Amino acid sequence: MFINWAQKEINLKIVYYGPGLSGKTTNLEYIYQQIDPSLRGELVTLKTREERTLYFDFLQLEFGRIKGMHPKFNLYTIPGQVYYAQSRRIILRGVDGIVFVADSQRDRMIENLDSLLDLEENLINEGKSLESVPWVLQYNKRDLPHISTVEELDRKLNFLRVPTIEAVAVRGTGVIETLKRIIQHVMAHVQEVM
Amino acid sequence: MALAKNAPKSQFMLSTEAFNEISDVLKELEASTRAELAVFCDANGVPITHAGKPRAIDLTSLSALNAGNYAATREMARLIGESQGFKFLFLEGENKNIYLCNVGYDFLLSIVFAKTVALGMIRIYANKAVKQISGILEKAQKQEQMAEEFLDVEFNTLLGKAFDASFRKPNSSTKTES
Repeated sequence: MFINWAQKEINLKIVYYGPGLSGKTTNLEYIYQQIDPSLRGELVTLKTREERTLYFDFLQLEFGRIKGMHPKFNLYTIPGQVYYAQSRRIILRGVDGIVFVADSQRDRMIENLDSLLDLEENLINEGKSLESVPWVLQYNKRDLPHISTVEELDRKLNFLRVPTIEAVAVRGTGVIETLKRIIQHVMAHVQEVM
Repeated sequence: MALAKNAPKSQFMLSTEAFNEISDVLKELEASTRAELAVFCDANGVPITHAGKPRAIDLTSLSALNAGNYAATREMARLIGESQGFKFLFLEGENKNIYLCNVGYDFLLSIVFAKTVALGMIRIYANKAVKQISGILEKAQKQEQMAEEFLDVEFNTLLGKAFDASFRKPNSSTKTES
């Protein structure tokens, strides 16, 4: 969190984490389309030729003036592919909240778990942990066949009992709700630690 | 401009006084070098203050990319055994260049300047500005303002309402099939 008193700005960083192709960029694209254009910046995407996230996607959101201050949320996605480990470490720096976008498909459970372990490891490198940083779990792709039940996903991924949201990001289902939950979670945490 | 050994801070507050002082340093830097733009941002890519004419330049995106770029090169430095990181980054274009350096561990200074301006001069004035800003930040940390005054339950309630008002109603973009 960065507070700029002269500009009356509070800047918070939220990172969308998860395995490759779980729908992180899709979340940001939907938010970009749905929010009042006067409240958002450009959607910056650094993609490979195959349209996969190479480094990060970035989108800044504002919600006007609240109690004299301008809260700004800087949303980042990470590249999910295993070989971009270094990029993920860099993007997690200074994170205030995390949305873990899990792929609900049964055959993607191992990738979800690997990504969650990778997240925990990277947070520890930053002097943080999954227990100290606010995070929520988005169970994405609920419209596809051969998906795990919410109970199965809860049992395997939600061992810390964080808020969960079912989503179909390509249609926008659950995307705004996920953002709202993480913002609430982050703000509550900020109050706790101040 | 070596990287500080301490870990990055997760929370940082910048007072109005420090903000104004840093803005003055940037104005002096811009005037002395005839640079087009000097931007001070945090290492996470949040733009803080600038001097010059950003015109069509999107400072938010530029700062986010500067931060990502700088962090990536710091990792590259680590891979080749350069533990202190690189002193600066220089991006040379056809007409414009970018000079980027860190201010301690938590902040970055980037300068956009025309090809006609000598890199040597930018380096000298950037070094001077980094020292001045470091001094201002050190002083500012001792005068932290309290944020509890406004970051309360009421703030969160108002933020929730502002959030709800900021998005289109579900399916409002869906076209009716004829």
